Amino acid sequence: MSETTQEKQEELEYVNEISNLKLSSRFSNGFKLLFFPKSRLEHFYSRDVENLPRKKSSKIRRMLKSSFTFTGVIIIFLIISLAIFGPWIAPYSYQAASSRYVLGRWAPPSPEHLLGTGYAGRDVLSRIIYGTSTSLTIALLAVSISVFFGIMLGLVAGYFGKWFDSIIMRILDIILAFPGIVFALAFLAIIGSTIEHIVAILGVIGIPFYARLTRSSVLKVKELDYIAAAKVSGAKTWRIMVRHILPNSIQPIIISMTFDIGRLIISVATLAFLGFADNRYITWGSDLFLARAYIYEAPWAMFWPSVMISISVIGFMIIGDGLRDILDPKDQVLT
Amino acid sequence: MSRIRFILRRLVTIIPTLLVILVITFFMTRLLPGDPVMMRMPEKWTWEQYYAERARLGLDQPIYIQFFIFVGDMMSGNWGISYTVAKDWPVWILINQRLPRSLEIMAISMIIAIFLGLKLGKYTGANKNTKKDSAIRIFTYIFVSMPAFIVISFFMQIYITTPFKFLPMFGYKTPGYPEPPQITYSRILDCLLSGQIYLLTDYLWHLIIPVSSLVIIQLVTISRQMRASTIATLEEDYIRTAYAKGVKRRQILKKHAFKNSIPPIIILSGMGFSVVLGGLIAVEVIYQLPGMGMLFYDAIRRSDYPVIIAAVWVFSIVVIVFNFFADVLIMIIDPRIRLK
Repeated sequence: MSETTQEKQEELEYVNEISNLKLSSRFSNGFKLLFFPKSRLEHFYSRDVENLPRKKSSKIRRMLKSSFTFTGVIIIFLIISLAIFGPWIAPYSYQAASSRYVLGRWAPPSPEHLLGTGYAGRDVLSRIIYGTSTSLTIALLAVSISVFFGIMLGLVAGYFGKWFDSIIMRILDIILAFPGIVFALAFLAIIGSTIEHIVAILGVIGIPFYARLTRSSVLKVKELDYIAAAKVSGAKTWRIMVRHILPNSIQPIIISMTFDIGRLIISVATLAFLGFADNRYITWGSDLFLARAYIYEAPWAMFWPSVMISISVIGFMIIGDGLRDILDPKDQVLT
Repeated sequence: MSRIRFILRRLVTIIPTLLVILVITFFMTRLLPGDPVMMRMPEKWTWEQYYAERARLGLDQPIYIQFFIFVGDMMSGNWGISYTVAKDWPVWILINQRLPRSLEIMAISMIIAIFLGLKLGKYTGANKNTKKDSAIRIFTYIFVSMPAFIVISFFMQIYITTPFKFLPMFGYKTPGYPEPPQITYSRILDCLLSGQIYLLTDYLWHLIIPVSSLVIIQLVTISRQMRASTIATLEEDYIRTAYAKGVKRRQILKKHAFKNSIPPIIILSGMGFSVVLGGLIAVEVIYQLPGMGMLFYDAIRRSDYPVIIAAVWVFSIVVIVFNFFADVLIMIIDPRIRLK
């Protein structure tokens, strides 16, 4: 009698655990299979693992982990919708928020200005809403530049190898080791800080990292049989590179892209904070730059932009971590 | 013997690095706005004067010869005259005055950050998935995601809102105090050498807030990496063997795990050094400490091109030297590297 109840209980626990697991991983697995057909194999393996007796790890932690990622998704969703629907949400028009004329003083939060007013009496709330789209645009454009050229260089260097590879990688390694922010500042001081220059320089600084990443996975795949098969069947070189090798290196690239968007938001803000922003646009960093001198009189003008920067960066970091957990479980050590 | 060979080989690899940096900085000088010859012309000038000046500056030579001249100038410290930051001063003197200041701040903050970060990382890695670990992890997560200057600005806001303002925030000395005699240009050493201890204590008193913000910036990355590295090391076979032999946990953490989890930290901190430099610039600018970062910032704000290029060059050399020492340190700790 007692045995059967115990068995039942165990079974119940097991079912509970499995259903919990399914709930947390259904979305992720579906997502994974949708975009990365190669991972189907891994999926089967992981099923085998699932049937083994699992190590007891506290449920709260697991839940926290998934809800943690969920928080990140919500943050980013909110930030992106702010960027898109900013003009409809913001209480003041773009002209008023970026006005050069003195509309008022640095004033604390009031019913008209929910977060107070900053330099020249501009509304802080409107400015951080308009600043969202600028920051995200710069970050996305710069990341796409570095990913595109990084993948090209990495593919070519890894596939053709030999002296070409060693020269390119040598140079890229050297650039990778150097303080990007110092070079960016120097170049912007020399050629002027328009938005195009900022995007171009930050994009170029990111290239070596992606080139390395692509190259390393190309080297892993290059000698495998299916590449040889593709060669024998007469596929052109570029087709082998793009269709057969690239899909294998896309996972780590997507993970680092997410992290890099956050990192670039930081870089853009740092540049703007040191006075290198495009004055035609509203950015979080330039708000900080203007508010820095008035930190005693108007701390709110500095507080809200920095909160926005931190929240969005944390959001991208969380999503990056979550993606890494889903896509690349081996690499979890470095979180 | 193999150590010396390793160091020599590592020294040789610096040469291409220097070359790439020189090419980039040369490219920068080519991008400079304005005609350098025209800037040196008097009010009334003739074409003969123009060509003579151009020949004197070496700008009529082919570009590779100009590059060689540029390399010679950079190597020999002939970095020109400052335009705006300190008018008509040789850039060499400016940098000679400012660099030791930055280096001492960096050194102090790095030593503290490495010490605390390794301790913290070891602790959290050894007690992973406990409540304390999670609390520390969330703390580090937040600070890793924030750029240096935002950490600093939060620091300042806390400072402003709390009534206890006993620590000085801006500047590096109490107004009215004299400067120590400038022997080595490093303020700590100068104070010590001239025996003016009260200046030294005053300086250190002013450094508390800047250094602690720099420490926080570095501490979080180091402790995160150390945690990961400790966890990875504790799963190795020899740790299990040590447990099986009956070695105590304290001893294992201290003797077996700690030393073996350090090499990845050194490699990663070599790569993260650029973040620290960015933080240094922000810290010096915000807290008004006259170091390299402040000089560089002044130069880029006021378009002082010779100073900008010299500062980029000096920053690069600092990074090269740092990476070199990091590699040597790894070699000392991890003998496997020597055998490669």
